[in-house]
Amino acid sequence: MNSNIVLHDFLTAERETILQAVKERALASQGSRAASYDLEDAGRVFYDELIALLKRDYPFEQHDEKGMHTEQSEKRGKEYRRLGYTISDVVTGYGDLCQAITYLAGQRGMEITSREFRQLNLSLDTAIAEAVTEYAKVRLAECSLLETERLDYLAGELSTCQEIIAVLLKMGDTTSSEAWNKVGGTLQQSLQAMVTFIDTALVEVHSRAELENYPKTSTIFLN
Amino acid sequence: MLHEFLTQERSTILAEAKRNAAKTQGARITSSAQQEGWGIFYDELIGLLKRNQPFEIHGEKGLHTVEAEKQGKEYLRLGYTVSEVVHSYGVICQAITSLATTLGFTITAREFQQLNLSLDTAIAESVSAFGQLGTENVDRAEVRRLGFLAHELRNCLQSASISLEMIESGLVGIKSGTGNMLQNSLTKMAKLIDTALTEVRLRAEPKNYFQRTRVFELLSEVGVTAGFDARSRDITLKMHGFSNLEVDVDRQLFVSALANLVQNALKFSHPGGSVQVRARAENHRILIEVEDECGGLPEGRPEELFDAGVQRGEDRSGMGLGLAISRQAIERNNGTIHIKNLPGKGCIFTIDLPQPDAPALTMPSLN
Repeated sequence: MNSNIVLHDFLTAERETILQAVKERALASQGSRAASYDLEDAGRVFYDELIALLKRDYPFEQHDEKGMHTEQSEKRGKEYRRLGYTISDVVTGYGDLCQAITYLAGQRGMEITSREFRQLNLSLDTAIAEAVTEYAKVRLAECSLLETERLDYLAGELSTCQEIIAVLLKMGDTTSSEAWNKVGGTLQQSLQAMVTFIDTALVEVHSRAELENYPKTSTIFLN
Repeated sequence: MLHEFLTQERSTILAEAKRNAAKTQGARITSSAQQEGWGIFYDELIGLLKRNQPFEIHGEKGLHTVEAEKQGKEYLRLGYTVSEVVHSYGVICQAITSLATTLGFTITAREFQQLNLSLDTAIAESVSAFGQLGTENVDRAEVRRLGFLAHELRNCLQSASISLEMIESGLVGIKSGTGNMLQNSLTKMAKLIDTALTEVRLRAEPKNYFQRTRVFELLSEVGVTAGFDARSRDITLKMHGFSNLEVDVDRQLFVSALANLVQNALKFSHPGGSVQVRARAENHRILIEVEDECGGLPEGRPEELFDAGVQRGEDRSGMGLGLAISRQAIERNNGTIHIKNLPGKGCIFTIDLPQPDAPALTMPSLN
């Protein structure tokens, strides 16, 4: 191969070989985790965007403004998360592409200029940054959703108990002492139910935080 | 060889990398650990390139682990984004390749491969540490909030249970001080639960349920609950000036926000003082003010009180989420909340809502 060939021509000519090498590298590192058509497709789209970017050879100052890979990288970040990969795998996924390119260039005796490598590296870093940002955003949203569900459950159950208690107390205000004795029993049951919900929450707090400064849960005995 | 070039041009490349990083960092703070980390990583990179290991054993060596992990955590501590962690390594590569181009230095494809692999390994380790610590922080915050809620509820429940036992034993009647204690405990529980439910709605349910409501009704609803609290704190709660006003609000979110402001006002006012809640129409807006006698706010930006986690005064009970939730709830009602400091006296929280176009009903004033 002509060693003076420019990088984007090399990437175009060796498209299938490089993409195949990336796929093999990914297969070797993914272990038992699933691949997906979307992930592979996003990789191919990104590769073609990369060629187009190298072909246009923007001045470096304009690079950020162009933001070429945003949509594709975001999709890829989300897909990695959906498939259960780690954030480190996201970085390695893009790294595999650079490894495959530079490895094949070395094999073919193709010279990559520092300017081309700079462009290549900047494009990859931009894509990695966008992909890991999306990945982190999805992970945070998942954590938040879990927390909200837990809080929703606890608050919902307690709210029901509290509404019952409010009604019972109103009755207690206006009824005779015999009637109050009956009301009192139901009131106790509602309070006991609240104790159970709160204790469950406290057990979770203790098991997750192992905070020694939190008082130990003590049972409230209701008659 | 690349490692010789890097050794020779160490100070130039590091200075260039730091200049480029400073451009993107803007006014954000840096730390000595972050600055030193660059030099340490750069020297590790030279060492790796010098050893020129076969690529297959690269991963096992994991040369950059400690420094890259440290850097990831440091970037999180300083408030950077995960994207900036990636670019912090990118600027090193950019500085190297830029100088190589300027000086006409040739880097082989193998050296590029080695350089890139080292950078990617470092980035991967760094963003992993950043992400892991970030998740741990979120988890810790959640546990603290759940812990606070559960313990507060438990305290109320304990008081309510003791009161109930005494009433049931026949020692005291329901309309006694003990009965009041039972009522107070249950009111406080209701408030805690309501705040939790509001938080859930704000986070999980994007839909609002607007309805035309008299300001009179909204303030009365808050006043009933706040009245117990005011009496127990020996504070006079005055509500006035909302005779004929209406607003379009999501009732649950609005009441929760206003109750929170009033409860805060009671919490920080001195015993024997007063809290005033006023409503008025002004320039097609409905303004509801909550004025307390907390003695005024310390120096600083009062609006920061609405940030999650920021607490006011010496009483640090709670998670500092109340005002943040109030603001979100009012914003969901197409309104805003502002705070005005009255040095030496107290402060005024103002809820500002759009006034509905339809004519208002006439209601008697409550004073």
